[in-house]
Amino acid sequence: MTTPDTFEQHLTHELDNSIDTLSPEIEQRLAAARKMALQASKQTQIERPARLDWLSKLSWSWSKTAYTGAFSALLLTTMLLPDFKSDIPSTSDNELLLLAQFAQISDEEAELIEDLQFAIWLLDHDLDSNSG
Amino acid sequence: MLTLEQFLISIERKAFRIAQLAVKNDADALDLVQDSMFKLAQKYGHWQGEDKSSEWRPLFYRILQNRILDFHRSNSRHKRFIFAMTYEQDNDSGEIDIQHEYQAVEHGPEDYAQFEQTGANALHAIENLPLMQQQCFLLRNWEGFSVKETAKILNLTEGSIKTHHFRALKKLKEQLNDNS
Repeated sequence: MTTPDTFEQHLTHELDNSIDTLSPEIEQRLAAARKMALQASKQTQIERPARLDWLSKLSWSWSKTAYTGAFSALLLTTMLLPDFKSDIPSTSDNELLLLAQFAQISDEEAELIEDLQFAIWLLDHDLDSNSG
Repeated sequence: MLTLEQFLISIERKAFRIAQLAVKNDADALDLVQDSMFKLAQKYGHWQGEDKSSEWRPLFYRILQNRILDFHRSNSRHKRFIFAMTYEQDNDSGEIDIQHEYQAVEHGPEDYAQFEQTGANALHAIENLPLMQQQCFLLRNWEGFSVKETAKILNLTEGSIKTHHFRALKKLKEQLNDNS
């Protein structure tokens, strides 16, 4: 900040003087406003712990409900799991391996397989036409 | 560390004068100061006795400035238009060379004699400044906030604060010299 020059100091001095000569009515209104603000602050501080207590109670009741729900869901899943298992068709290890390999084939690899299949078909076709 | 009461006592008179210069009316200024005190006490009063209480001052002025702007916005359609025009005119060339302009308002010792005669007119000249220039001048010079703090309080960029402050000083000098 640049240091204020005499002109600026003069202005701030005038401003300082102006608040030393406020009317009694204004002083009274300011004091009343201050008291109101302090009262509001006290009221908020009284309500604040009560509100926090209420919030913590609410969050505990919510978490209690959540825990109960989660436990019920887990219990239900455990009970129903054997039935789910019986519905799944049994697969051999080889089938699972093939499925796993199939799942790992990328788009490029799929195109390569198609090209190879086409080349084999062409070769077969050529062989057939030559033999015919 | 100040209590909330000590803090409010320390700022209430200045806050009233700042609001009164902004809205040009004692009753409205008192309402704005009362609202700002109430809001500060309600939201941040629980900082009493904590280190955070040093933040009351910039927070209070931020609340007060918002109240002043709200007052001007809602006062009347006509006043709103005038305010917007003043604000835009005030903002339109924010890219001036601040350093150069600051040097341009340096005063020689011979200039200061005439400032002595301008005491009675000083408040009137400040009151007549465009709102943002006026508030920048008051917050920077009277309340001693830094450019950064003033920018935060008025929700403007630091560049705008420098521009408004410079223009305020220039206008004040022009007005007070004309009157003397």
